[in-house]
Amino acid sequence: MLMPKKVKHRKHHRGRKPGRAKGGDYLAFGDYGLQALEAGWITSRQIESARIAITRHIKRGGKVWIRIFPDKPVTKKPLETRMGKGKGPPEGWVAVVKPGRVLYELEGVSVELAEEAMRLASHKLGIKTRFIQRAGSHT
Amino acid sequence: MSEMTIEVTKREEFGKNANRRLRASGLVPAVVYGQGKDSVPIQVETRRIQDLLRKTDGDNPVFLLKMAGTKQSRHTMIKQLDADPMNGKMIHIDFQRINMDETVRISVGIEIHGLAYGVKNEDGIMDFVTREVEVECKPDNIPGHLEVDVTDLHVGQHLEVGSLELPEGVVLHDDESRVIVSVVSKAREVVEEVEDEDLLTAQTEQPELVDEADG
Repeated sequence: MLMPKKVKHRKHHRGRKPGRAKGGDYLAFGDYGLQALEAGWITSRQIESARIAITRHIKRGGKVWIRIFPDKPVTKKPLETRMGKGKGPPEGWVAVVKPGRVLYELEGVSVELAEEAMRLASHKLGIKTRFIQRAGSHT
Repeated sequence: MSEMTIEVTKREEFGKNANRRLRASGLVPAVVYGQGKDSVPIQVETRRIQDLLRKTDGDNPVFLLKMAGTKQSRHTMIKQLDADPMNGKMIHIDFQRINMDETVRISVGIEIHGLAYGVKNEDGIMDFVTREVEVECKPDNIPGHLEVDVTDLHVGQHLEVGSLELPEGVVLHDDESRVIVSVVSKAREVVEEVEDEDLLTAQTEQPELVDEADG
């Protein structure tokens, strides 16, 4: 699963997710993409699970790009722990996603196959998404 | 490349609220700058510029901006167009002044033509790596796009930027060895046998902490 190799701080603040994606909101590599319609946290497990859904559906052929990276640590208090006594230990990694962000890109497959692969991937994610494609797609 | 004329008016109000009111009234805030002169805040009719952009071939249209109520006019190109990623509505446009007698450096899109032999008969995949190249030419000579014929490409072959056929008066300003398109064989995708349960139970090991002293 994706996670940073080195970090400056073990724990982050939760933060807010106002506005729309400032970058990564266009198709940079492939002909098809999955674009976020909501803001949210996508966990490294969700990213991996959706990637597997895409690669399994396109079977062979095609190239997949993951356009998000989970670089934010999330913490969780252990079960049956009383409140207080500080922030809990790191539990996993998430990518902060805002509306408009392209999550995955795909190339080298037919539009029908890409659409179905992205539909399957979208079910693995916790936010609403839409399928997008390049205007002058060559496949 | 055809030149497009658009009438603009000077913008008197500035800031977030004024610009929001402007967009609601069917105008888009913009600015004209470049060539060592002061920047001029302007406003443009959204529908008019959308219509013009729809008609253009390529991403580098040349506009003749005419200031309403005056005889001032200026050739410009779009330097940056900010649009909402969700609905595509224009937020702001940067126009850069150009001199029609001087060359400009711009990025021109590449269009693929035909179906590669390797894709059709050898079960390969086409990997479109470079979609834009930087060129230098006069503003009235800007190509809408550059075409690449891939019909003869077999698996394992590729086309480089140096092999692009440029129109007369257009000079390439890019690495000639950059790959535009390659045909690769469909390597069998190794689908990891990672079950969803494994993902749920996978233990996340902690990354190394960057030592502040090391920077």
